[in-house]
Amino acid sequence: MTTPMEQLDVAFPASLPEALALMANEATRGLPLAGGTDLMVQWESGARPVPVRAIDVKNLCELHVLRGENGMVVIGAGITHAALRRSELIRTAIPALAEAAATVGGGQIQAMGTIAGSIANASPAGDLAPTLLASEARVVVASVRGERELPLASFILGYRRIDLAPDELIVRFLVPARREGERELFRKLGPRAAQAISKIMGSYRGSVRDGVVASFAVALGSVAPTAIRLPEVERAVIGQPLNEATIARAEQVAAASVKPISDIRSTAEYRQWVSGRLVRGFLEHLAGRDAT
Amino acid sequence: MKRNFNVVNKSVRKIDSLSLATGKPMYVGDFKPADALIVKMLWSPHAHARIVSIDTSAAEQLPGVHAILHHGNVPRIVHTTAGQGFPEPSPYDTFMFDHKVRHVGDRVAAVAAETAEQAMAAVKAIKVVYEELPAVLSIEAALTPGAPVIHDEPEAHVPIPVPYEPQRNLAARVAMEVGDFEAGLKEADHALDLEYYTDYAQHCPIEPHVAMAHLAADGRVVITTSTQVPFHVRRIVAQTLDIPVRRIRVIKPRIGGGFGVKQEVLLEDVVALFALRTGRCVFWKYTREEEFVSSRTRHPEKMRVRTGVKKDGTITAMGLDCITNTGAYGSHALTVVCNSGSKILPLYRAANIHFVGESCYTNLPVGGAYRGYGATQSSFAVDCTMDELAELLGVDSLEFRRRNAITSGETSPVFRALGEGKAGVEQSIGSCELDRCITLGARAIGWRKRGRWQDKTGRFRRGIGMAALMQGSSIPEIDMGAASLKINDDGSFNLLMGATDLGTGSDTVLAQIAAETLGCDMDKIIVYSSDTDMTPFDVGAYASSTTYLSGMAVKNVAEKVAKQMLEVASAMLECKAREIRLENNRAVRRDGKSVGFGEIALRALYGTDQHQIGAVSSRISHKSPPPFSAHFAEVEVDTETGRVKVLRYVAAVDCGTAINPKLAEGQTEGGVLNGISYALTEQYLFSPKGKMLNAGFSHYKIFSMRDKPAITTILVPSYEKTGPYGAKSVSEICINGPLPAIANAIYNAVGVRMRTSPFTSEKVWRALQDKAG
Amino acid sequence: MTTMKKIQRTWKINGESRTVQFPPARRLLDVLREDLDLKGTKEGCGEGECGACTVMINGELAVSCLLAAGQVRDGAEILTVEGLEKTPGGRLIQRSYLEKGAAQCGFCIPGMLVSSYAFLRRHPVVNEESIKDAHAGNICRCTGYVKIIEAVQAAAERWPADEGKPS
Repeated sequence: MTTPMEQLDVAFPASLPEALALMANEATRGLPLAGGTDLMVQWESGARPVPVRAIDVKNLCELHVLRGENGMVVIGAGITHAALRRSELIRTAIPALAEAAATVGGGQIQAMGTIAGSIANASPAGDLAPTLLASEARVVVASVRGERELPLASFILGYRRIDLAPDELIVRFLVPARREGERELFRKLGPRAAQAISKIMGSYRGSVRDGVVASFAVALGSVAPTAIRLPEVERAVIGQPLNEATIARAEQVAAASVKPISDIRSTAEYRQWVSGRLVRGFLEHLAGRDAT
Repeated sequence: MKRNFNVVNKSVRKIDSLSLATGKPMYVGDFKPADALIVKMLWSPHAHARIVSIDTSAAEQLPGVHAILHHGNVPRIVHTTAGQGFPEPSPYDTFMFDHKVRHVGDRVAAVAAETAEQAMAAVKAIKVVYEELPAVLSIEAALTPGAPVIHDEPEAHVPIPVPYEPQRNLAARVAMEVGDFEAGLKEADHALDLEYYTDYAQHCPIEPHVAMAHLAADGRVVITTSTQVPFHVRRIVAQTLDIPVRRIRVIKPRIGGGFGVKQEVLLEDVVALFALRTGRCVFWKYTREEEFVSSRTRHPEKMRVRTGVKKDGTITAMGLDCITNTGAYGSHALTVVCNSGSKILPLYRAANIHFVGESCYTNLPVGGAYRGYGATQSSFAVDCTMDELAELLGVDSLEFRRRNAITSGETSPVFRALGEGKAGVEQSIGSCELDRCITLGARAIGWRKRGRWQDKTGRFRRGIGMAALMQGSSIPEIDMGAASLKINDDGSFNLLMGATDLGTGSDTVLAQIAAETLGCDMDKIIVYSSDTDMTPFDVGAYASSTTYLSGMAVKNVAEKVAKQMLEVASAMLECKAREIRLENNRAVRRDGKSVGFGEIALRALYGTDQHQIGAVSSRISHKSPPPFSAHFAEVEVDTETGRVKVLRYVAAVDCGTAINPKLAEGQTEGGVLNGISYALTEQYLFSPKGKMLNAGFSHYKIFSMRDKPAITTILVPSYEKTGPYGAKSVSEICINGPLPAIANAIYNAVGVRMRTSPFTSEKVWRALQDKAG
Repeated sequence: MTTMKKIQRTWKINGESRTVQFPPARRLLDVLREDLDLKGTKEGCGEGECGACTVMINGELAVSCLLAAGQVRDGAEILTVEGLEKTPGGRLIQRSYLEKGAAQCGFCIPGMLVSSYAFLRRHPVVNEESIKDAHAGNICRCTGYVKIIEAVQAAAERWPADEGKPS
């Protein structure tokens, strides 16, 4: 059966330079198409108009790097969720990212969807963004004009908006590896375990020295138009003793600082409550009490 | 009474499983010719509107477009899409296309084009001017005096004499009273008055609705469709298109799941009319979104349960007032709400019984048949009430159910009072092993260790709940099953049935019944179902009727054929027919001398007194023997987030003789998980204008393997004398348990009563917040 | 409306070399079913959620309803349900599904089987949890999954040592 996509032209560049050359020219550029797990659904359902042209970036080998260097993990744009969760490097250096990748859809979606696709879709409910935000990941984008590197936090501009020029492609992510003494965790509260486009989720990375919170970065998804860091919460706990008083305060601050909307999945009130409980769970995890 | 079986009660392999596992083409979509025209429908964007004008001229000019149907160019014949026996108990309130739309997703116009893309383009090019009308978006709004009238067309009526008041949005009403209900309440030491609500749900067969039609060489319309009711499809399409039944042939290949939703004639009229108008093969398959919005759903239902009980545990009064929301059309409106009473009220003895069932129209998606059929909703209300009554009395709720439940030899006045669109049929309970189901299920779940919620602490709290259930087996004195059987040269048999295997394995089960009766191996039975030109009439697969009712027809036809075989064999073996037994594919004389079935066939077909050994048989039932079941759930409630996780589930079921135990287990496991999914997550979410917001699997979650708890099925054998080899039904009862069992388990864990489905995390969290004050 | 230019791909489908031409963004599902007449792969939702259209491409699972066929490059190895009977492991899984009564309506089964195959050929640690994780993208409404899990467990016990490679 034919579908609207049959009218879509797709270019199949053999290399990244070839892809960037296509992107440079208005007459040849197209929407980057990798795993298709978001775009194809949106095109088929009519939620997003089918563009004139797409550029296949799934098969560009330059986008499939995955290596550690100088305390940093370099993750190519085309790395899939399946590759993330299977990678020994990721599981050691950014375990929360492996966890997050494992909760995305089923095995098929994990094997198709890519890290860049997840970020470029810029859904508030994207699974990978909170962990990448909490680990202060940076994005490298490229065009024929050269490469540009920027923090993920500034790359995500708003609801389904990213800081990407029409001629640019996301090429890789630079994610600081977990340092000695740092703990991290990803948690998701969905309507059910499998395949949930997550209701509320979050990730943190932090460390404790002599009973005091030395570092703490936390980010939540599905509580605002984009995945967000919670700077008020971070300020409220860093430098404080990791005790019940601090945790209780962090929980309060978290619930107060998120401004979720009510949508078809849950009400704002419930999201605020759960945001607080997630932050509490993270701090308890940091204190060595395992949250479930 | 035969109880030592050769083929029956054995888990023989499902006869179609090899072709299923190798991906052979079997479903409607697999047979679509490359040049078939594709249908796309223009659906109403409004919940309630009049079509002022419709202009298809631009659309008709588009490339690839062959025909467009709308209210201006099709017969205007009022009918129901409910695939029920004739005359239907559902109101005639539907036209193929109307000049009024009654819900978002109602039909406006259909296009048949060379490709789906061309059809979509044409749909978009159709210009419609609507006059929007105020919409009715809840049961309460529908029944408010002065509410907008959804069916104001003069043609609307019910073809049988039952209450129907479309001018006040009442699609159906039924009532019964036994004894003096109010007096019963006064007599009670404790009384309860509780309200329950169950939400919309969709069946979600993995194969959505799909149908195809072409013209045969002789000009007849051949409809190939994924349906549970091929003969009703034939009749209703003939009615809708105003053509004779003889011009239509309906073929049902494999069905990719039904659960009731394919007991509805939704696509066949359109593909048939397009085939007649274009002369081409025409194909239409629903998208998943269309399946949610424009097919059928479980009727949402509001229930009020009023009961009284004496200190000694005697129930003095049982009252049930139900109102279902049938949506824009009254498909199954009356019979679903009838079943809310008739499939649960007989379960517990009460001297005074009150029941009122109503169904109202709204401008929302349309209700229909869904596994459980009204009993799913009312089992929730009644069984949770039982739990509360037991608590009031301070007795174990399991013992309370046991004390009051109906048992073998007893009858209930409800059977007589409540039928489907007419009075019911009196019956006493034959087989009933509910008591043993309760005992075995309680042991398996560890009922005695469940404790009280008051004693439980910590963030995660566990609880155990139960439910007792009954259903029926076929609709007595309304439904009919039939089969035909003939022998082939090699002693194999063609078993032709109108019964439709919708994935349940009924082809296998019915073949087992035939093989048992004939004394042959399973591989000698060649099953064919269903084709209205080839197979005898059968109402189809619904109302838990196939094993019981079609099974009786198969047993009977096999007995007739066996008798004919014995006559031939007696001539061959030179003895009296009664001295011969049919076993192991042979006719065996008392002294052991025998002839094979193939030899019998050859003699009959080619030898002396040539004739075709074969017969047709049909059966109705005068009873609807209930299967019984006890369900148990263990849950864990996260008191922080309200998340409910089902840890273990036990279903003990008395379905009489399980003709195929493995398939009976499979029915139970599937129904249970569907029920759990419904209890915890499934619901329709609507915009303020009545548009469904979560019409897709990414926002309407059905349980995946990752969500599955441990499910234990215990088949508790009984022998139903009226059924084939002691069998009763099994397919529907299993879906009714999870709502009450889980609700009762949540109470046992954390002390909150969930009376509105589904029990989402947020809802349970709110209940916990409210309880904490 | 213009007709999109077609591209050509040569794949190894179920061990057989097949060349096919199609508009570049045609869904792989449609290419398989309509252009290559492999009807075993089913469409249940068209949104990647039900898994009825699951196939294996170069050893990785994919939902063919969300894959522009052009993205599958020349030389790719594609396995659909029709290819299972050509391998000992595939036949084993099919037999196991039959023995355990894992199929009811059967519409989800082709995709489910491919997921089972992709799972077992990695020689994974097989337990209920890993089986559930490996099949979470395949929805079945009929069976409650009980007998599917039993079938995968049974196949795992007899999995040929030389089929597939460790995960």
